[in-house]
Amino acid sequence: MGDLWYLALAYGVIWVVLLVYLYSIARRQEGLEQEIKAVQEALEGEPKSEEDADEAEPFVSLVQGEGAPPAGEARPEG
Amino acid sequence: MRAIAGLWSVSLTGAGSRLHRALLGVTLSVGLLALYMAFVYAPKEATMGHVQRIFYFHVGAAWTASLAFFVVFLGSLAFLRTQDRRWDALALSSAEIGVVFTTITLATGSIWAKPAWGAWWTWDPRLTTTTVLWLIYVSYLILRGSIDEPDRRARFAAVVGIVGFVDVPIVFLSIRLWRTIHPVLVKSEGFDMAPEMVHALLAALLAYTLLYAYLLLVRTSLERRRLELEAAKRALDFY
Repeated sequence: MGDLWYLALAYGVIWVVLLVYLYSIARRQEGLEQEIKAVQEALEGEPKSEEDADEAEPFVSLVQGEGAPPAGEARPEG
Repeated sequence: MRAIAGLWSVSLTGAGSRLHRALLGVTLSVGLLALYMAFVYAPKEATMGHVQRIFYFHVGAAWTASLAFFVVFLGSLAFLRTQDRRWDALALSSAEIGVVFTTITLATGSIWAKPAWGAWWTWDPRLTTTTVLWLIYVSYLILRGSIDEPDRRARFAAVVGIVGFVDVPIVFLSIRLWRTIHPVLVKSEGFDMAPEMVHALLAALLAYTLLYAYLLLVRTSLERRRLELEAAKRALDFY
């Protein structure tokens, strides 16, 4: 095999590895968008009470991309 | 094409989309320049011929992987100190990118080795320590996937991220500490190559560093958005 073949193989591998990684990021982005949509749909249902609606409001803003919820409420458990 | 479109969508929807787009533009421009310099500007190497051109992006990938693992190290230290999950997100994102670039380093090195050494692989100290490095950070990612509790997962991963970094200087020093057939790039009198080759190498290093910065920005934005969504779901009892 000529040296150009090895050169093409090496650069081909670089592109393939990078494209596979970019594709995996894109897939995860799609999955996240779907999850956000599911939460959004759940939140768009009729709130049981006015108090429930007030509690859910910051998270509706979050999933609608209008900013993060208040830091204290959005902090993970543990 | 779909992957590129997906990435573009990440850039547009993530926080700081203008920064994302600007960095992507600069990265693509410098990447094209680096390819031009590697294939056209740099002269053909007398002994190895065109195969030597693999070297520019092989060294660039190795440099970027080391940088990525250094960021994992810093992010892990910062997480253990502050318990702020954003540092953990940074470490995770950088570890993932580091594994990608180490994979490129190992693959291109192996392809270069076949015509240069007559074998795809040899257990040379540089190759062996780099393989160990790749295994350490693949284990880091597997470990993260195997622990459900978020804070415990972040703490364990931070410890591996700090301890694992010990292998990075060992990889760098391996060609000086042990007898090796791997070429030594920088000698005491400087770079052992023509000035045009040094320019092409520096362009490749810059292109890869920008690509790393761009990928880190995109990946960290995605991870932070996921953390926010998880927190929101937990607060709403969505699980």
